[in-house]
Amino acid sequence: VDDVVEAVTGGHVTAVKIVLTSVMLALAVYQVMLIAVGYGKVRPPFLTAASAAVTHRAVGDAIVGLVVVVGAMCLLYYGVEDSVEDGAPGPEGRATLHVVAGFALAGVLALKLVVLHLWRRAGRLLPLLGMSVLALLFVTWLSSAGAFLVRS
Amino acid sequence: MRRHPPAAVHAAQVLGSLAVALLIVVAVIMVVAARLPAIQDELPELEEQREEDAERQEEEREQRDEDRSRGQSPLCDRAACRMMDGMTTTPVRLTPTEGDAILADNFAPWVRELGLIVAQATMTVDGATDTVAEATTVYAIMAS
Repeated sequence: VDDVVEAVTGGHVTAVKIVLTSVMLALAVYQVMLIAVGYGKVRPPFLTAASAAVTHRAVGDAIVGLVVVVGAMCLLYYGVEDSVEDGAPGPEGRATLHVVAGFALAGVLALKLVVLHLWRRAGRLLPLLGMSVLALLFVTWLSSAGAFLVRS
Repeated sequence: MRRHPPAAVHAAQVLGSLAVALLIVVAVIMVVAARLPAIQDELPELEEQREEDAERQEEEREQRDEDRSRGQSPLCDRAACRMMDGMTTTPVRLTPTEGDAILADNFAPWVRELGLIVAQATMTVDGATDTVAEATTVYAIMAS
């Protein structure tokens, strides 16, 4: 599996992960804007709520795909132990936070998909779940990719 | 003024907002990619690779020092010569005539009738330094 991941990423596994997680975070912020239009909280003249909702759904699917790919790369290539031992630079415990936030992100994202597709009666939880996904994405990014990028 | 049908407006808005998403992706990739060269030394797999290279170079250096202390030819440092571990690697100095005599003493007539001779050959070793100068001239058994 390691060889496959290295071949796909050209040997730059961490660099590819940093790019992908940064893209995910940026798209997640865009998602918040879109759903604000979708819920009618913001009414720009150039975008209707229905159009924003459709785009929100499409971009959300893309983010789920990226989360699965990056999560698989993390677990299969680095594993939980290596991630904690050889994590991003910074205070001790940051890598542990990354692992916890990553698993929490996967869980919340799965719950959101369940609410969207199977448990529609819990639809009122969607805004809370969406904001949780954004927050966990931010923590996951900050505890790994962000730690590499922001460090001078 | 001509009014667009709602479906066309809807499609245009969706496509437009998706295009914005694509622009965001491209912008993020460009920004992060521009930052990567500055942080590449801190990335784990590159660090591991560097450590492995350093360990390998250290092992090669130790092997060279060990060979020198045993009086062996620097040629033994070469990967091809490492395959000859256990064999005599000290340079042997003899003339082609002496080599022919060894052939005559140790090879059956039918082998010599195949046309084996001893000839002088020159081998260049990685830019030939002073330390390998003695070993640049070797004698090889080859078919005539």
